[in-house]
Amino acid sequence: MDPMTFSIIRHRLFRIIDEAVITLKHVSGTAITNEGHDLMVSLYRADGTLLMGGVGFLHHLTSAAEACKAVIRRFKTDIHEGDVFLLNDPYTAALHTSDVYLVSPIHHAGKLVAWSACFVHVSDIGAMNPGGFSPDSRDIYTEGFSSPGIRLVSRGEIQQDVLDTILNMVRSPEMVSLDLRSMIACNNVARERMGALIAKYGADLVDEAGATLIEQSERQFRARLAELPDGSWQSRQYIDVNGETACVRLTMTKTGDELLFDFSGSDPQSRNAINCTKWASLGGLFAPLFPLLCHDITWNEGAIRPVKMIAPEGTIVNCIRPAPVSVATVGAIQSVNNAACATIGKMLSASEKYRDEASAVWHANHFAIFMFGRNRKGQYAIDILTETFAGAGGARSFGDGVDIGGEMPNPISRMANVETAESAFPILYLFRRRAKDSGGPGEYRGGTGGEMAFVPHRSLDGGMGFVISGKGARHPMSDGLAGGYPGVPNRYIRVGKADTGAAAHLTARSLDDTAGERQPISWGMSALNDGEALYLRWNGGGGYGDPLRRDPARVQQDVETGQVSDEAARDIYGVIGDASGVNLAATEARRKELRKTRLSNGVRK
Amino acid sequence: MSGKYTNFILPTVAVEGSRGAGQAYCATCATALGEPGAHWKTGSVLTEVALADIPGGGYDTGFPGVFLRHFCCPNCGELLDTETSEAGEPALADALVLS
Ligand SMILES: [Zn+2]
Repeated sequence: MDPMTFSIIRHRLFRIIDEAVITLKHVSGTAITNEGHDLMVSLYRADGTLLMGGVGFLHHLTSAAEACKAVIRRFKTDIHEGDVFLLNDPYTAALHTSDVYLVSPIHHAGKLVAWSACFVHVSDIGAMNPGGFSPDSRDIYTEGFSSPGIRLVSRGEIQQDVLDTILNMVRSPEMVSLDLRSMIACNNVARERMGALIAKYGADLVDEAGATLIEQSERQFRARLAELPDGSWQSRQYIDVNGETACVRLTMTKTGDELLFDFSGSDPQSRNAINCTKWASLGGLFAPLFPLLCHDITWNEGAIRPVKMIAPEGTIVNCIRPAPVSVATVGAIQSVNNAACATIGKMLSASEKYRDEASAVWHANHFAIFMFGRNRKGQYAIDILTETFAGAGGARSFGDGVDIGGEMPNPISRMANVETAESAFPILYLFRRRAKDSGGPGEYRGGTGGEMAFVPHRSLDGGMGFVISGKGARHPMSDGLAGGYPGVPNRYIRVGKADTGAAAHLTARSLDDTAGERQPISWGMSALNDGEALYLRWNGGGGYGDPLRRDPARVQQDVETGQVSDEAARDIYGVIGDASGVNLAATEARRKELRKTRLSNGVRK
Repeated sequence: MSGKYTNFILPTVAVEGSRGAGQAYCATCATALGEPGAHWKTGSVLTEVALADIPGGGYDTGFPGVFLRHFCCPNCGELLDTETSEAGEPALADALVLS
């Protein structure tokens, strides 16, 4: 087809998604959507295959394709212009119940020509624990409302009985109603703009452009893979929650122009809700693959074709119903994200041509804290602490990771202002900053994570409740690359009341300033009462290369700005300095000594 | 790092040879790592450090069972690769398929 027209249609498809995302954000009222950008919008072809992947959490791109296909299988010919279907069953296609898919058919002249699909993490889904991450659940039945496909809007008319039934099962019906309406609005915009595009160029030409785009992506991706070395790279990712350690194990093998992700050897499915289904694992491995290997290739079905996955049934990465999965997106799926990022990073780093595109693992462990309780106006409030999306960048072969730099699976993740959280909940922040020594040491340092603490403040009920999940706090997960260290693990501490009174923590500017009893806490539903404080540190990114190769001046600068401690500078980086600068002779001697120690203390294999 | 190699398993570890008999080398000092055909980590020097003992204290979780493995070149001491591991885990085995 005419290359100009092809290019115009391709760009128009991008912009349709952009506009749909803006609509989604403007209608939804929750911080997790508006501030954290825990969302996704994409376009699909008439058969449900991915046409144009959008921004947001990229592990949804392939799962939402499966959601479209599941709706097609279920409703067959009973799919009409103006319909919107809801699907959130993880054993059908969704990642977990609270990431609700709304998929809308797009018709032209009475014929189904495409689909738009989106998700947000709804404010609540009626699971055992508020907010959708449900660490107390032991099966899918206690993880809230779950549908393998239901019509929410019929020929442009909202099905009030269906909507009311859903809202009757959740804790914050007004916010969930907004969430659902934001997705309906988003799909309406996508449908209208696709309609305008088709009206201008014709359905056949737009469809041909879509097919050409898919062919182009497959051709470009296969050509890139063919340039990379053939080999196998491995990764393991631990999860440690509720007294149980589990491991996701991955061998990624590249042969010619194909990639195989083999999760054989991963642990059996867990009694805890960290499991994920096979659709989720597939989505999980694509989340880092799209930005790392296809950053200049359109994310569509063509980029999916060269990739195969083995995820043995009954394991933590392909669990069998009714295993609980509500924590999946911050559990096994994120482990799959991390493992895929690590193996793809290793493969890229093994190629001199692509080495600069390799990355150590980014922010690898969400703490996923949902706060809940009455706000200062006496209304029930429930939302996530968006710092879980603040992240940290992995280091590259030429530069440090970005401090508080977001995360690989979501190119638009971010956190809210402190004031936004303080206005939503009766809490007061004591501090929020980059965390010292959190970025993985290396020739290039991983981006630093952050640390923060807050206290209940003017609460009507003497405090707030919170639900904490994620993957625990015992293992570093943001793996380093080429000798770089991983970022430090997460740390969560509830600080008890101080003897000096309920206001004692208000002057604290670090964890060391707090006086109460410190209780590590990393899983489950808890209370934060007046006079107590909650301290959180999130992981930094992985480092790249041997830390003894890092430019001493940069280490000294990190010490001066509080990113690296004196001890780490001396004993990991081998840099000796003071306020006047680096002592180069002493640094050279220290580095020599550390290299010698490695050889004398180590075991010759 | 040395420019004399064309095949790498990682930027720090080069390999030469043919299928089944590849010889790995430290990319910094060209020291052979292990026997031909064997995994390169068998020719490295391994130091396993408990998280609590990593300088700076940032890795200390209060839980003793997790280690950071350091795989170093036996000649120049270059840190070639790291792994987070619980005790007894087999080493991650990255390898090229040589034609
Ligand atoms: Zn060496």
